[in-house]
Amino acid sequence: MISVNIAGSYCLPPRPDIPMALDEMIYTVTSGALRDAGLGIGDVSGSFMAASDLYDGRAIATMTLTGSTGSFHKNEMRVCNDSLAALTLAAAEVAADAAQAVIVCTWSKLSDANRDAMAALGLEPVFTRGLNAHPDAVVALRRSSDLGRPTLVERTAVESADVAVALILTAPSPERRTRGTVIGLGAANGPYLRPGEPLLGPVTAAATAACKLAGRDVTDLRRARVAGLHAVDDDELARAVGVPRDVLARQSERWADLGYAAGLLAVHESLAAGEPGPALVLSAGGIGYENAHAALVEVA
Amino acid sequence: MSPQQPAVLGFGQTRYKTSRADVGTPELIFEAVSRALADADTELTEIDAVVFASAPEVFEGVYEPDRWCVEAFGGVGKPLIRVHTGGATGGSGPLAASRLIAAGLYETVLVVGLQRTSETADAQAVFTTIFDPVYEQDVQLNVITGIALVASRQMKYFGLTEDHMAWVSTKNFGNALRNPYAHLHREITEQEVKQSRSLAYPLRLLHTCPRSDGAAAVVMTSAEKARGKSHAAYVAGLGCAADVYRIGDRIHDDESDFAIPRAQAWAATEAYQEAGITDPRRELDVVEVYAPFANLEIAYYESLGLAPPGRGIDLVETGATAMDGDIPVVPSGGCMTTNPIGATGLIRFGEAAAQVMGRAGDHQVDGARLALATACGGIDQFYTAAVLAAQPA
Repeated sequence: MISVNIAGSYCLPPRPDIPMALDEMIYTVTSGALRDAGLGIGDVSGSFMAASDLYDGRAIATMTLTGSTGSFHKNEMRVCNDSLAALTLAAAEVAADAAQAVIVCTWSKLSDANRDAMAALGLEPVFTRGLNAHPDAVVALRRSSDLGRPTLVERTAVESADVAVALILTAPSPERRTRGTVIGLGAANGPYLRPGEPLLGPVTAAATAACKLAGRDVTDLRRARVAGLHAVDDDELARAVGVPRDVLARQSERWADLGYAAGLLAVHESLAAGEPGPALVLSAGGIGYENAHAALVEVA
Repeated sequence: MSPQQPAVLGFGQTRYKTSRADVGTPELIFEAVSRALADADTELTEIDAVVFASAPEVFEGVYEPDRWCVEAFGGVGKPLIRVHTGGATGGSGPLAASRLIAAGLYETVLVVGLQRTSETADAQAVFTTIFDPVYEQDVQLNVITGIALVASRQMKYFGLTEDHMAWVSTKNFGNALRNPYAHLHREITEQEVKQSRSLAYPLRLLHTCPRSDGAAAVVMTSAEKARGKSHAAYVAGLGCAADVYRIGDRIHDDESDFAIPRAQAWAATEAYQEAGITDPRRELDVVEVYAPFANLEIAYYESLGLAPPGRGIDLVETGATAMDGDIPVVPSGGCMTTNPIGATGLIRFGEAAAQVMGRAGDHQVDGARLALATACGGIDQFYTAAVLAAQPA
């Protein structure tokens, strides 16, 4: 069981090109989330971020961003996974009583990057990179393995998007504002490229773990919000999670690559939707959806 | 539910070389993880989650190298999080694992550290990209020139000399001779240090670290589970702090002179408070500091509270940080003799744990009960600190 408050949330929603420097984008969401929480920078003791060196074009993406991420003189933790992993570490920090309030932030600025050049770097360099396989081809191979017959996956049309999101997590307290509560977290990782387990096996495992930690059954879910995973249709996802199809909410296919920001954006969308009851947020990154994370959020 | 105290059950590392061309990257990881699991007397099936610590992936040339190597560390079917805080990554890994354990999310967590810098033609070319792309990258700042600025200010304000730096280099290279895993096994003299090639004044080749290929792994669990094991080290305190990015913003008053790595002091203070340490010089038995340059080790003596501000050189002049001194620093040889960047902080953490478990082999400090491990990243910007104890709280 875990119970960590989401006290504030702010987002610069996906757009083809947000006309701001990266620092400005991040500062906009971290300061906005703090204002939403009714807190100041002096109230938080750490910043947990999800960011990609490759997307940001720097060997240490966060190094120049200490001011805008709010980590100066504080605990800085950064993950290179979907931002639900940053949410997990931030929630653990609060739940372990090591912090009373922390920032979680993430961003992606694909308008400054060359996505096609990066896709090939996800493949192992000796045996598979030479195949020049697109990530969608990897998904197709895995689904073919699942179904026992050759399967094609329609190539996902990707429009470059800029996006930034920040949340403020706090320890539960009646004196603090509450937009929602993180009550469950889960994650699972599948094999690299190698077929042999269902494509959505890690997603199922992550969702199951998040519900188990919260002591909830999937039948309790009012909403399952899916970040990314655009090559998988609703029916397949609903089966993998064990929920009716109308419980699913998907992000716009227009923004098929939000980088590591997809998961936290989905949490923000859950809070903004204001739907009561537990909402499951799911993300899966990697080259074949193998790195899955889940968070169960009780929206206030 | 009160937080669980985290503990370390085992530590494993590879041999380090400039290029481990004898193995692929997954094999390198397997080498470290196998040793850690054996040292921890733990089966892979007992691992609940994995934290993967690897710094710039540009070094490996693979986007998300943790995925590529997932079978090598038994990560299939388990939760996997990759942390990256520059050079401090290896310190952030056990910190993240500690919080996951303390929060009760996972009981037993494997932390894996990897860096394979040989895959890149020029590490400093990679480091050039850590700076502001608009205003600073053209200046060709890199880690060596940045730390040379620190050393210059230590010389100007605190009396640092080439003799002090040469003593630290000689001490660390000498310690590494007792560590079978160290990358550089070479006896050096202070004269050789002072005659080695100049890199950026006042830094010379033998004041700096090598670039190493290698991996390390640590098995961590709850103190409750550790009590049933034959050996364990207990996490008594953790700290983490980041400084401002721009070097100029750290040169304007006594507290923030660039010669004083103040964020290391902030991180250490936090760890000491959690561990109940009030006099680190007297209470700590051994320090595994992440100091890739001889001058930085002396600056850290001050940041870590082992010497008063500006008086780190006193510990050099009295030999206090030698193996037979009253506060041995990097008995393993440290970062100056082995530096697989993203894994280096994890090696410091593992070595400190091994010391308090009495399992450090020929470089064991007799009777070590309380040890400090640190990590640093950026240009003196990101820091972690961890206090390891022989007994649970």
